[in-house]
Amino acid sequence: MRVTSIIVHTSFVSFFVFCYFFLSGHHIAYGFDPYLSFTVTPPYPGAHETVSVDLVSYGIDLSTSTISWYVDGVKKNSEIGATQLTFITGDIGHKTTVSVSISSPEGVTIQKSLVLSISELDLLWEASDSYTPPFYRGKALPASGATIKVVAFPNMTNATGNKVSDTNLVYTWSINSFKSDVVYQSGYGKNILMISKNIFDLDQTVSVDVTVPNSTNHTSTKLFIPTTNPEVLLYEQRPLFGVWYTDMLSDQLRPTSKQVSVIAEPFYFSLPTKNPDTLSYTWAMNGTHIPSDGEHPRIVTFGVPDNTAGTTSVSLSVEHPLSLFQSATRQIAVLFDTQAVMRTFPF
Amino acid sequence: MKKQSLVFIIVSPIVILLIVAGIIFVWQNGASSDKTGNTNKKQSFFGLFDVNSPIIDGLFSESTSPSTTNTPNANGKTDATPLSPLRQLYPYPVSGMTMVTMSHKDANGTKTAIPGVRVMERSSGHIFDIPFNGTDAVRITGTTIPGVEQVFWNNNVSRIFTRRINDTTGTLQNIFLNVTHGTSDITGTAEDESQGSLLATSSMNNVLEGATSPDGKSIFLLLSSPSGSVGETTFIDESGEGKQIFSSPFKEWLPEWPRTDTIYLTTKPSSGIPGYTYSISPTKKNVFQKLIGGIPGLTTHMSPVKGLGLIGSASGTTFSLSLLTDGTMSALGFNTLPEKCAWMENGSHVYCGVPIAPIPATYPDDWYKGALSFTDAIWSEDIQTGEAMLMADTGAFNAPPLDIINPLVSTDGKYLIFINKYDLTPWVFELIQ
Repeated sequence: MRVTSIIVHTSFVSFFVFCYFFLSGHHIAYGFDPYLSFTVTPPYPGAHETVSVDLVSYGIDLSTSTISWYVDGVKKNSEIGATQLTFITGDIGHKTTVSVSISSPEGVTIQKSLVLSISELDLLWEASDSYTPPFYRGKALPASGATIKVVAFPNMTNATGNKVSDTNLVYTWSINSFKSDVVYQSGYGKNILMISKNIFDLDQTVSVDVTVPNSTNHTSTKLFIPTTNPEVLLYEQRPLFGVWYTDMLSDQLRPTSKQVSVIAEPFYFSLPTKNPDTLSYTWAMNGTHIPSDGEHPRIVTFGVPDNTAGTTSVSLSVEHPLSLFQSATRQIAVLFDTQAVMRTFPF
Repeated sequence: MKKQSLVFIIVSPIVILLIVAGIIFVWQNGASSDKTGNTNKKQSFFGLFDVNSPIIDGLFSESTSPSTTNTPNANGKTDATPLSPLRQLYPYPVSGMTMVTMSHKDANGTKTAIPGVRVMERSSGHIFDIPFNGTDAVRITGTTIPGVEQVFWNNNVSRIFTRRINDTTGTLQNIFLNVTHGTSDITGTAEDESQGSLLATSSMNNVLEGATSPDGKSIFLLLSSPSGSVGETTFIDESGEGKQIFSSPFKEWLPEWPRTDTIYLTTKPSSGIPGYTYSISPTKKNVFQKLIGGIPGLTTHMSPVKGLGLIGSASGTTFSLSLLTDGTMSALGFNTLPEKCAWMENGSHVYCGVPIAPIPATYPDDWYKGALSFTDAIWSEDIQTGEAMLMADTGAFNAPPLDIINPLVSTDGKYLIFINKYDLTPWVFELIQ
């Protein structure tokens, strides 16, 4: 009977604690007790950032109490029912003390304070094997199965206010709130997380908790990593000029010379060697397979017949030899109309 | 029917047919090949001025170097129509350009300094100097390096760093080259000119990105490393080892070097994905200082003035532009991508290509991919007063659609130069007319 009572009691307390943290969402409650607690948003503020501190009580009627707020000893506000304070943080390493004094109509006065350590933590990520063409200024996005490198960029201080090197912090990583999957990548100085984009879990959330050893300084953040579909884009490759990357062939090509070459650029395919020629390219003209250059399977060259006008459909299918989930297609119409080309080409 | 009438009836159609055939013949042969390997737009048969043709069309010889066809008159202008404030400087695609001061010799042999640009022709790699006064381009080098994608210039444009894709292997070539000047000036007379050349002095095979210092003496290179990337600075004029200023497990950085003491690194952008910008010192090792972060689709263009820059944000199918002043963001009077803007050296004004009615798309990704192009107007903003001004609307001065990239403002604030993304030709807009 006694054991059952303990189990029931423990379950109830656990449920209460779970609900409290679950419902608090992105907020972190400081000074958790049945009567009074703080909720800070954002939970780990950076330097010169606007911070909101909310006061919550389950034992005192705050709406009728006079609430006085202090930041580093300086009174900022004192009103009846003022349950929120907003202020701007200081520099990295600065410890901000937020205090509150509550006077209830019954004459009860309660004081409480919290200390915020100002630190920063950015999570940067890159799809380290995702291919984009040379000189492409955009981010290489991850397809299903891509390898992701997540790098933590903390800016934290120790108890004496000195910046602590990235390699001297303790990192605890989790994916979709599970730490066990990446436990071997967590630990002292482990500011890099390598993960594979799970084909069954396309949108992953990565979290990291960073602490300063032998200190109460602690911060955490998380990021969402989307999954994209690989795509193949076509560009004209002009003799002497190279690939004309500024003008993608979206739906049609009007040849500007007797011979025109088209190159395929497979965006976001996972290619650890960054060599796009390792993919499988299948070209077809009006549904009939056409060979590409053996050494350069991404390139096909068309001869433009004299004095003819018409449209030819050119299609391309690209497949990853090792990943069933990475493929893309593209189709364009090649317009053989030399006169029209002469009238419309921008040069 | 009289005999004369019969002859008239028979001969008249023949004459008319001959005239029509002549018209067609002349019209068809009006087309000519240019240095792009493509076919030029035909001229109007009646010889009317074609408002859509490049403004300085005809100043260049089509078959030879464009440097020997036109001689400037005494006031430094050609005898053609007055120059448009917004004009194409060179009718062929270029790999890059920079401001340059040229030497102009007048009829009396007196030399004066005049402003212009130095460009590298994309098809040949030949370097030309083009004055803003409308006179002929001068070929500086004749060494052929086709298909250069990026060119970085040192301060006296005597040395360059080029990046291109090797046609055969598909690999990147990153080469430092010395620009050996000939004796040419802009008199355009053959006896004054001896052709210069490019001489490769060193190459690198792991360059990811580059940025030149504001004084043009140094270049920052982001290099790929087994663990991520390293950043090096090196004096452009020297072929020595670079000085490593950081190493990072992260590779996808876009560098800017707007102030001598600060290099900015911004994460490569994609629509909706939070981006971050950090500043680093060219002299201190591994000192990253966060400038801004958590902004979706972040792109930046920092000014030469400390604490001042443009911040771009892009999410969904829209993008927005903000001014960053000492950590505080505020709106500008127009909306564009930061890299379509150029700062005055003192940070007093910013000049931007501003897209008119941009279509909904995934920005900036689709623009980078060439999936779409903008049609820009040119706007300016006075940073002190916040006054935005439309300087050249779309189609102004009979210009074709412009999608402005790589803009630069001259030190004296008189000229805005840029490349038109449509055809990669260089343009100038006179800011003070």
